[in-house]
Amino acid sequence: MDIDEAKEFLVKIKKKDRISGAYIIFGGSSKERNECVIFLSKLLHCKETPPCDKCTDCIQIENRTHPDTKWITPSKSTLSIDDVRWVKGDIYITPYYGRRKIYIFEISYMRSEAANAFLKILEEPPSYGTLIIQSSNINFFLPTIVSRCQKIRLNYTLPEYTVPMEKIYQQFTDILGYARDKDFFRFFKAIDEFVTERDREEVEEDTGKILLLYRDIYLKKTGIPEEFLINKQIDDSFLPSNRNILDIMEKILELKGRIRYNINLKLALDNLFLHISSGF
Amino acid sequence: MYLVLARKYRPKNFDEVWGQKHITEALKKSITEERLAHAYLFTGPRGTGKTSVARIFAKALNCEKGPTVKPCDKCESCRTITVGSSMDVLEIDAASNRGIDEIRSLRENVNLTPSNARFKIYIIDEVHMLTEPAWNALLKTLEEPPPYVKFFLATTTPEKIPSTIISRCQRFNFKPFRYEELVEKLNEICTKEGFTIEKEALKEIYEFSGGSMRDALSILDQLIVNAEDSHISYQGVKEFLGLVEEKSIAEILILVRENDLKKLLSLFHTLLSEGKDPAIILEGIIKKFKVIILERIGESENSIGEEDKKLYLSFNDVDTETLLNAISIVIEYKNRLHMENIPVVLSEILLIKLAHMLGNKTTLPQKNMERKDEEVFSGKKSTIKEESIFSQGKTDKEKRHSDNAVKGEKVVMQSEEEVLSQWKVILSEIKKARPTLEAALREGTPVKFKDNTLFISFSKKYEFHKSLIENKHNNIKTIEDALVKITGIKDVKVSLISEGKYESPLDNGEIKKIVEFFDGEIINVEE
Repeated sequence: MDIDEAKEFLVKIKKKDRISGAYIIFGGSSKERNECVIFLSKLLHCKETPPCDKCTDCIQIENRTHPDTKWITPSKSTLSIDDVRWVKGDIYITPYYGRRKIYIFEISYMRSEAANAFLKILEEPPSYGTLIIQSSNINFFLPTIVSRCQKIRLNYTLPEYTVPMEKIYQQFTDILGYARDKDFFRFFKAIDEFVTERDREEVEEDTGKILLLYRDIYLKKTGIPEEFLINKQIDDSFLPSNRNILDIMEKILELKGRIRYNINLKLALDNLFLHISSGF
Repeated sequence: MYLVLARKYRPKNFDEVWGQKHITEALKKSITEERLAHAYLFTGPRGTGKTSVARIFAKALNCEKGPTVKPCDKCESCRTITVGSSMDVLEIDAASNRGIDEIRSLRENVNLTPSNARFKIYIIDEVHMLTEPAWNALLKTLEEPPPYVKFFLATTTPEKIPSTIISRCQRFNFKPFRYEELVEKLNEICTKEGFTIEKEALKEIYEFSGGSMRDALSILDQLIVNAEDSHISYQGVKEFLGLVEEKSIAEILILVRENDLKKLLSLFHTLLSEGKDPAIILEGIIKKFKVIILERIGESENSIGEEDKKLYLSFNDVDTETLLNAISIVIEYKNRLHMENIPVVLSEILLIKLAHMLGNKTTLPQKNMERKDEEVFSGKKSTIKEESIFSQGKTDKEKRHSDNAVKGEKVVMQSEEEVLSQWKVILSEIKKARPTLEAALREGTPVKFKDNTLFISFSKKYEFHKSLIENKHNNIKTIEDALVKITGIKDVKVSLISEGKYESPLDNGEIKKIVEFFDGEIINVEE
């Protein structure tokens, strides 16, 4: 579904009075998901269908200040068991003045403890409760979680090119630049900085962004039209000439997968960047 | 107040429990024959009725008219259990109360007699999440609880439960629903809700639910919202579930085979914009590969259709082993989808990889085998991927020469540059004769070609490789033969040198003597 179809579908849910206790909204860009979540919460609270965008409920939801619409945005986007326990206690307090009580989970990952603790409340929330999970990828979640939710699938899209991404590219270009000049003192120092100023999850996410960079270079080299590129102005100046890009992408993917398993980040990234730049 | 279908149609007595006859019969019998155990363990995949059966069983035991196989649903006890407010049926979510402290307080409460019912029943759901100490604290109570206490444990992952616990319980395994069972129930529910549904639609729902009633009902729930005129059509289901047509998958694979990345990616993105899920596309690819392989070994169940025939033929000259490899790569990536927040990019990389692997521009199978030997030998990771886009960067000149070399035409090269630029071609020529020799030789760099002699230099690190080549006289001969074949120059010699030796003539003893004799110094070296 694209965003408009999703909204249409949600309106139908309300009109037919088939509001479920749990939704999972996935796919799409984070902006689209957000829009969808806000629309759904307004829909559940507002007296009008589709929501009027004028009443106190709507305005408060828009500003994220609605007392009966709670946003659970755990740090590092990983839901912990304590968050779930809190929701479990809180959901049984009846709504303040809204018509329902809504919990919105902006998460991208769930530990198995949290997921299992989540199961019971997800299956049978109180009659006024609605839990909404929004995440980029539905495959993160246990099948038992997913089977308890109504699924709203937005169209999967490529990530967008953003300012933070540009910053990472800058840092990355610097590192490779040092490698090219054989200035290994600065090279290792730059990697050190790259690691220390981020925590584990951020490193994982940002290596993912480097992957996007190589994807773009690869596609550009193969002559794929620009519309498929994430960064349209990509230049391949820091690509070592005799390294194979697919090989590099594979390496990054491998590293990304390993970061979850408590490896030494510094050494892993040293290894990765050396691998990338070994062809200079 | 609306309840989702899965909750609305949650079975309320043993007869409503669907598809688990082997369990309900046994439980009924244990009630009528008064052979009740004190602990039961219900295991099975999601949405098969574990929690429901536990609740019904609790009702049956505690009903005022009971214990009976048909709880009345009217008495105080039955009603409180339905609402979930019974004092004596305690439903505990073990996933959020998983520590030893919770189990300790449970042990204390076990000693209190039931307040007004016959039994005190603990339904412990998601029991696999209990911690190790919690399990062990439970052991004694579970083995010999007071006569009025019953434990019902329910879980989807029995392998996480200690065997000491399992041995203290009566275990019942719930099985996923079979097609006929699920469809019958879905039909029944549709009729009750006042909807009609097409048969193909039911089939797709079954496929998607994986035999879980709750999954099937939650899909049905959403389909009902989308349905027009109280009718659920196959088309609607397909669109809703984001199922990918087999035709599109076949098309993807043909493009993979043709190595046409441009069309491949644009097709992939069209599918995404139609709302397809990358994971489902990958699944489709795996299934299609399976079709091809089954057809090839003559084990396919029914004859393949027109579309598949075309696909099958286009994969004719890819050997089965490569196909199996491809499948395992797709599976690996599909598993990775569970970890990555960039599913689209991941799938793209997979498609590119497949195109390289299976695309008809590379003659992969043999090469792959040979390279494996070298990997072991040179300890360096090299795969087919090296073939990739850089090979397109070959200069025309190189291409011309390599073409010539293939055709066997003699082109006589003279200049040093020309010979050096042919190094890669020479290497591949050597490889045909002696793969291991080529692997060792790869570490060297041709530095100079003078007086019909090619100098190949090895850095200190690769002294070993050099000595390896030198050890056999045959080796030099092979290199020379290849040189003659590629360059067309007769009587070519090959000389292996260690790095630095060639570059600095100053190490030469004669020159040293001259310098010493004149007590001079070297200002400039010219050749």
